[in-house]
Amino acid sequence: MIPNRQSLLLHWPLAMASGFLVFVLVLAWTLYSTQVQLRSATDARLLADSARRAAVVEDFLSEQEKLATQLAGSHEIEAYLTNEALGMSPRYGLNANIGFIEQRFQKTIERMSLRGDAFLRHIGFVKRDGAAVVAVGDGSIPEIGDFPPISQPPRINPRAWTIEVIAPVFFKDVLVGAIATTADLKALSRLLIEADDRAGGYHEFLLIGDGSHALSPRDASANFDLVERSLAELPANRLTPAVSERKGFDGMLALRTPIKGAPLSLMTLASEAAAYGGVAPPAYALYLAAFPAALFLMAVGFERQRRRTAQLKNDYAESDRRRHELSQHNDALSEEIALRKALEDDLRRKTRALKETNADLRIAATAFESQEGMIVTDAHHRILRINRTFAELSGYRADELVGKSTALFNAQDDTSNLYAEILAASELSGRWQGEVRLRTKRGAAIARWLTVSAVQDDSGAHSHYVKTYYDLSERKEAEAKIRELAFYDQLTGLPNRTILVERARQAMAQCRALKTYAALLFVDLDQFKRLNDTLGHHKGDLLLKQSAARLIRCVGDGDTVSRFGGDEFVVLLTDLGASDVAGAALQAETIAENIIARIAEPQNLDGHSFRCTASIGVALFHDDGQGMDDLLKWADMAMYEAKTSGRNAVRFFDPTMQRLVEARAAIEADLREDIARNNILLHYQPQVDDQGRLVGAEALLRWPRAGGQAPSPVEIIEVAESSGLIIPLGDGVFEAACRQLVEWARSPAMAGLTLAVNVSGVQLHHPGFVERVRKTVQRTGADPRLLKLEVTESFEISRIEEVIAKMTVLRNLGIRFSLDDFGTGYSSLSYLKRLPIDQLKIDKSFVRDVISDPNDAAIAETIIALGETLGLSVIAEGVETEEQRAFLADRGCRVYQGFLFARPMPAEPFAQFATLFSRVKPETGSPHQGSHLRSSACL
Amino acid sequence: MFWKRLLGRRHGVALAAVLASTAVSAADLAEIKANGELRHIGIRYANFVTGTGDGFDVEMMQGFARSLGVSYKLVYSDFYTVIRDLLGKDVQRKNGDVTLTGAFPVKGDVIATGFTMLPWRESILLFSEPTFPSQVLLMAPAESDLQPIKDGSDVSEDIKATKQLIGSRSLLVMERTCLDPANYGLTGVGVDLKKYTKSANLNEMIPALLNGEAQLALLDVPDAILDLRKWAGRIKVLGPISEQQTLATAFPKDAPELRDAFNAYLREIKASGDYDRLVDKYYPGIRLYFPQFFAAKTN
Repeated sequence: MIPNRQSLLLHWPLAMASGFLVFVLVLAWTLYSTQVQLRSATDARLLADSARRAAVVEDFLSEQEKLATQLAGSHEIEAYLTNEALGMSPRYGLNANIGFIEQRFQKTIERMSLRGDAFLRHIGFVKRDGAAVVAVGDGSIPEIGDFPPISQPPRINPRAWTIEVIAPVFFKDVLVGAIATTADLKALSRLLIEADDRAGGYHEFLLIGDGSHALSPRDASANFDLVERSLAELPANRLTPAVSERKGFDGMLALRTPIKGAPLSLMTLASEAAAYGGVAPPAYALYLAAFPAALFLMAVGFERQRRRTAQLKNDYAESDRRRHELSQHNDALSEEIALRKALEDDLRRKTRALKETNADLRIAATAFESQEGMIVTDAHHRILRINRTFAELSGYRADELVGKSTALFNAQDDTSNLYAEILAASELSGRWQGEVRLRTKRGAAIARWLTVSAVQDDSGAHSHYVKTYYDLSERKEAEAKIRELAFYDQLTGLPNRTILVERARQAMAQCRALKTYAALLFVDLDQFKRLNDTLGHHKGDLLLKQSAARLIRCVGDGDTVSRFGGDEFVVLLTDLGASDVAGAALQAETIAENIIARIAEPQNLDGHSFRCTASIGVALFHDDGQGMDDLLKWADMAMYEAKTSGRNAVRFFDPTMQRLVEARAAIEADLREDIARNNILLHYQPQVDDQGRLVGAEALLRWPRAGGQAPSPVEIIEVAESSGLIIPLGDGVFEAACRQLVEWARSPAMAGLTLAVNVSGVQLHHPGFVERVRKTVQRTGADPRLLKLEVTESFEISRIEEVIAKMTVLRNLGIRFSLDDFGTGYSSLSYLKRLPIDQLKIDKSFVRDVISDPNDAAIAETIIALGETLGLSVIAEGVETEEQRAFLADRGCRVYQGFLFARPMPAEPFAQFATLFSRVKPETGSPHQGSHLRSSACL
Repeated sequence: MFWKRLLGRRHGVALAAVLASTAVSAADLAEIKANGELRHIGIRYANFVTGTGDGFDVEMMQGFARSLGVSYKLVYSDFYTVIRDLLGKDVQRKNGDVTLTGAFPVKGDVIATGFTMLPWRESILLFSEPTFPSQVLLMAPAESDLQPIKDGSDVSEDIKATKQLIGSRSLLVMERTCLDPANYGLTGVGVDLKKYTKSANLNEMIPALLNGEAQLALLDVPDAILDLRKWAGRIKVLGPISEQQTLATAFPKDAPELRDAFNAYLREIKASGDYDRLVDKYYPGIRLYFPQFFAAKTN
């Protein structure tokens, strides 16, 4: 659009300024172009100069290579090599050729010069084997390394300041050596130019390698002041302003021109002022142009500012008016905002309250639909809502219950009382909790824990009640379990001692009130321990369970059968139906006898038929004058009496029993003391063969108890086994027996006698048994082949493998084994075959009636036949008459022991007996007079 | 032209003979200075006297003449007549005896031409201090089946080994020179000696050898050094035939002053380095051949 004339007149200053600006810009651009061209020309000249200078250096280096190549192919070298090849000796031929070469080299050194200065330092001719043939000049032949097949470019050695050239020497196309020339590197300084002026001048120098060495033309030495290591890293063939912290680099241009074929760079430093003369930099023209442009812009800006000022004045007046109006509007708006803000706050509060209420409702709804049965009633306990759990619990649907009273669920016997109590407490305190019985739709009464919580309205009155029925079944089960664990025996399910005692106390009170009698029966299964040890705990447990069941069947509903542990049962008979003691005792005895009869019936223990007997002690009571502990103690003592009387019996408590128990405790204490004092004696009962020869003896335990009557042998062993004294007692007996054997070994009459020592099952199972036997034999020096251990069937069948292993070890030492009391226990052919025994011993109970009782005779015959079958010897004990001996001898039994031959006797009489026996063979045994207490002297 | 017109053709020859017999004779130092000229008798041999107007001995004698303040004149001769040209008498050697016979024109004052000091020569001539070393070598063409000897512990062993190489092979020799087989015990021992008679120039020995005139040849070291460069690859040195020899400048027995003056001059140029420059100029490589000689001289 072409401005009209009036517009141009209005803006004539701006038009003039624009024209002036265009004019100045054209001038500035022209100046700038000129400056650029001038600088380009200068740069090109500097590049060309440096390239030429570099070419001169390259030519010089190339000439060095050519020179070495020429020398390598020189006539003198060839003549030398030819004559050498002809075999001419160094002394009479080759030395002349060497002289020619030396002369050639020397002349070359003298001839080669650069700008009038000789630069060749050294020329050498080296054979390929490393031998220097000719070396002329100063210095030495440079290191050649691998002889090159072609001439190598000059090698710069900055340390020695030399240029080294290696040229191969061939003779008949075979590489035979090399010519090595060494030139002075500093000679290259002759090729450089340097000029100084105020602006910095013009400098050329050669950078060697990484720039750590340099050559300047000023003198042929390194000029480190001039050299900046970074110069070596400048881009090649590009003029660059020199940048360095070193003095003298300001305003300098740097140009690095690499020397081809050598680690050298020609470095040119020229002052910018000298290079470009007085030519200002091109940017100067731009600066000049910038000034009028700035003036123009300022003029334009000023004009616009002026116009804006006028406009602002108008705008200010208008805005002042509007501000006034706006102020009025703002006041009104502020009031409106305040009002709205108050409304919003109120709304926000209500919203928050509503959210909280909703959340509470959700929580309440979730809680209401919990896993516990809940109902909500009004203030009059009429049902408003029930939850799903309560519906499932009660069997009612919700619509069946709404509006009904909660009394509908009441299943309490004392309906009016508890329900009324609940209602009263709820209305009074707003809460109640306790166990109730909930009646379901089907009529069942379910135990539940009820909590009642009142809901208050705004006035604080109870508007609703929330009733929650908690499930008590798990808690009931836990309580029952605890009760069972606390008061009942886990194995048999019978009440334990605690319940028994409690019920006994109740019975006492009842007896006192009714003037009647009650009784405590202490029932102990005979030989239970033996069964447990031999047949295993499983069968023992089975026996206990079955026996418990039988006991329960023997008593009435009001009576209590309890288990105290092990095989001990205690029966509480609460009502004996008699007010006098005789009638009560009779009734108790009847029940006890019934128990013995029931227990004695065969029991099937997992296919194993077993007969068990029981011993029962009875203690009567009719008031609470006796302590429970005493009562139990009396029953126990009575039971013990039944045991000692031969088991399978009933005994009533007698005060004399107490004395017997105390006496048994005294025996244990005395026995322990005498074992420690080694106050145990052995007597020896002879064993005689069918030829009447004394073959050995059985060691029998004697206890010379001081100040008291010696207990029976069975009692000693029982006391020892029950108290653990059997181990030290057995050790003492075995050691005494071994020493006795050693003693006998000194007498010709007794040297070959065997000595039998009894071993109990407790000993056999003891962990250190084998080791103790072995050490005792070693310590005493007894001959183990004369030792015979008599074992009974009292060991545990479940540990038969362990027993066999121990017996085998001892048997390997030479000790033999005899199975004692064979036929009286659970004799089993299966393990009899496996036991490493040498002898069977017929129990004296069979021998005693072998003449009169056909059963005993048959058993004796069977044992003898069994011994023959298994290859075992058989010995009969308890032989007292000739008839018995003759019977046994006729059946094949060859060894006998009994009063027919001799009673057990101390060691010294036995020695006399043996001596006499060895000289006089008795036709019939004459019973040895003296005390006869045969004890299973245990090892 | 003047003499032709004055005497006619027949009388010219006789006059020349008279002039030669009376006007020219060897002289001692005083006479030479009086004559103002030193006449140097030289044989074209190796680089001692090259035949082109220069040579080791030529330059040395020129210097000597300059030191005497007289002019210099080179008179060429050969090995057969060189002594006669100095002494005016011919040399006869028979059964080890040396006799001078006859009367001949004396053509020069001094023999300097790589002249070997041999005992028989010393009996009739005065020799200066040694000017150069030499040795006679046995040469063979490169293609010869003979292999050069290995350096022994001393020269005598090397000589013995070298002579054993000759055997029945033909040997090129030049009598009355340093290559005379009689000087080295090679006559009468069955060696097939081929006497080179076409020329008295020792420089022709190698070309003759390469021309097949003999299987082997004797050659002195100065010649050998030149020929090894000249005929490199075509000849080979088999070993030494002689001990190291000494070359010297020879004077008439009646010219001791002249000899002494020469010795003084010789010491002077050795001290100044001029001698070494002459050696390197004409015999490059000879120093390595005779290191002891030149070490002594330069020292």
